[in-house]
Amino acid sequence: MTYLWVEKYRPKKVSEVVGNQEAIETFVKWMRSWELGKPEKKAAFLYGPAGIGKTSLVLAYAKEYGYDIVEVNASDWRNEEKMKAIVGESSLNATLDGSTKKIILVDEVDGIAGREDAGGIAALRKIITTTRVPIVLVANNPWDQKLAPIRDQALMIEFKRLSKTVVYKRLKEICEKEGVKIPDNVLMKLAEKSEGDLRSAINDLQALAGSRETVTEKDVDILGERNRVKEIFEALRMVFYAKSIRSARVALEGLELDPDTIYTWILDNVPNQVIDPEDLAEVYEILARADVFFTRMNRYQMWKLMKYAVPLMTGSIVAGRKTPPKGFQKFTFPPKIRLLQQYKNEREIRQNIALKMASKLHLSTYKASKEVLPYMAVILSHVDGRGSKLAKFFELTEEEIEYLAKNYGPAMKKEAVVEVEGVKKSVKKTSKRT
Amino acid sequence: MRLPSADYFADLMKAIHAVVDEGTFKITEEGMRLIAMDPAHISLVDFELSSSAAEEYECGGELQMTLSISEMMKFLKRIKKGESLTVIYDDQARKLSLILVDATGSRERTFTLNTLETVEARSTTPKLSFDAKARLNVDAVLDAIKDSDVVSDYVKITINPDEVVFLAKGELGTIQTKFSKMGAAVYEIETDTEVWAHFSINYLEKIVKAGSELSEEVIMNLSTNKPIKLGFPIPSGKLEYLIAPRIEGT
Repeated sequence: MTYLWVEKYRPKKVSEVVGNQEAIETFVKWMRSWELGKPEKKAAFLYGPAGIGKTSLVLAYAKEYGYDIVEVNASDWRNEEKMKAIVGESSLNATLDGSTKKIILVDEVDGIAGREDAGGIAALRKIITTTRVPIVLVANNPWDQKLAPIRDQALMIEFKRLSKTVVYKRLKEICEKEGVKIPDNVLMKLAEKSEGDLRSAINDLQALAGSRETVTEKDVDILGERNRVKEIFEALRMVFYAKSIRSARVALEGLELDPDTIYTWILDNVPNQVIDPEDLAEVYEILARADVFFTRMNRYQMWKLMKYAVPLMTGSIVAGRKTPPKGFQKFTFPPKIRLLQQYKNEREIRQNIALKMASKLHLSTYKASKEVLPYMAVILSHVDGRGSKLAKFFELTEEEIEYLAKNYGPAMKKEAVVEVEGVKKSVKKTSKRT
Repeated sequence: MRLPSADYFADLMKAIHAVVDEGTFKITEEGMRLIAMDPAHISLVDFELSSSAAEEYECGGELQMTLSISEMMKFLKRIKKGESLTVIYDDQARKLSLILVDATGSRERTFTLNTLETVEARSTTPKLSFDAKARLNVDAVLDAIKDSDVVSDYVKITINPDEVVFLAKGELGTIQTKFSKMGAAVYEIETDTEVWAHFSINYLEKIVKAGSELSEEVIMNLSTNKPIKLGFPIPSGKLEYLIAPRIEGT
């Protein structure tokens, strides 16, 4: 079973939690005051950006000092009744070992505030006043107006983004333990990109280390926007390991990616994740149906079809797979997305050329790109001076000429390169004049 | 596994449902076992059904099965009186089939339930030692707990060599139920000292109620301010619960 490194290298002792020394000290001091029996505030509110060790600190403390953790995710249950039933009861009772060493960890407190909060916050406030065990609240954004009633009940502890060097050091440690060789400059770049989010940095590292033999700085770029990668990996995990169609669907909540991209991610990962051929066929069948909806949605601009397409897409695995997955299988980065990102620039240039040609020749851009553009490249590569005239006619820029020349380069003769240079120069002159 | 009474199986599941919504059963040739804690970590159920409880029992090796007890309860509600039950679990397809046959054998119904992603089962219970033990009539205890509910969320349970006392105090007033060692409701008290602890009525009531469907007596094990162990003797099986005590305020 391959573990997520984030879980594998979660700190087991408080001293292993990196960065935020001040916050950690405050938290430890607060826990000590509980052990002595007289805490000033009964709850602590740890807040700050994602992936910097808030939850890890609480778990590490519990592990090191033998506390039972009652972990509740606020977004799972936001009504008063459930809040009372779980947190309320738990806050007054000892553990099953008969000890009082228990921490109640309420994660994603801002999750309750954002959605319909049916008395959950008010109930939580009440519970904090009566609790007999420490309650730790965790959130990214504690400043929501709705959280005000619990803010002044709790000891506010701010966690800041981790510095680049702290993230870098931790990545380096993990590399050494895992026996993977990744150049320092790459690690540094990963650390930089993480913007202080260690969790996503470790996720990125694992994705990179698993994908190829040697990793270069360029690969880091391919990972794309840091946040997105982290979130998409988590969402994929939820989609592929969901127990029900409904829970698979929740995976996409808060994910800032368009369904098309997610579709590619799922589609490309299916053959690795679904081993049984019959299951695979079934999953593909469902995905194909989702694809039909997506296509019709785009073609007829019928956005209401989204509500059929998305559940089909996310539920395809749960619905189609009969044999359970064996252990955790790594997710791969879809080549399509990687290529699209890599050639994004070039596609833009090509599109611009096609646009210019289309307007001069009264064609559609599609036709221009398919039928005229290739000839233009050929003409450019022949030495007879017509190329530069055409380039002027189409008002191509130097960059665009360069693109055309390069893409049909292999067949180009040496003189042609000179010719292209000439064309570029003449274009430059004209543009200066105008 | 074939059981003579479907009702009995439904009651067993209800008893587990008193603590958890979903759980992992460990199934071996000896029988099935489940140890699970509720999400608030206050109560724990330790359930075991030996293969001898069944008329027919077959198991092709040790396996684990995670299922949503609350979903299964929906199926079990449809059980009619006098039906026998055959439980079949297909580990490959991860499907659990419940086959119900009525007394005359004229109707056979099959309910198939999808099981969940297997979660590693818990295999141990906390090690606890107890200073006192009492065996009581379960309905009498359930009554005492229900009475306590009138005034409070908590009840103090005391066991001393002569009696078992349930005491609830609230703003409304106080309710106390005493079971004397001499009385008909008490079968046995085994202790040298007085022990006591407070427990959530919510949990007590759910558990004792479920237990009362299956057993006529309840065995309580207790030490001062420690978890209570509630055992309900069932034929060829085990049904025990732990409930954590309330932390005494300072």
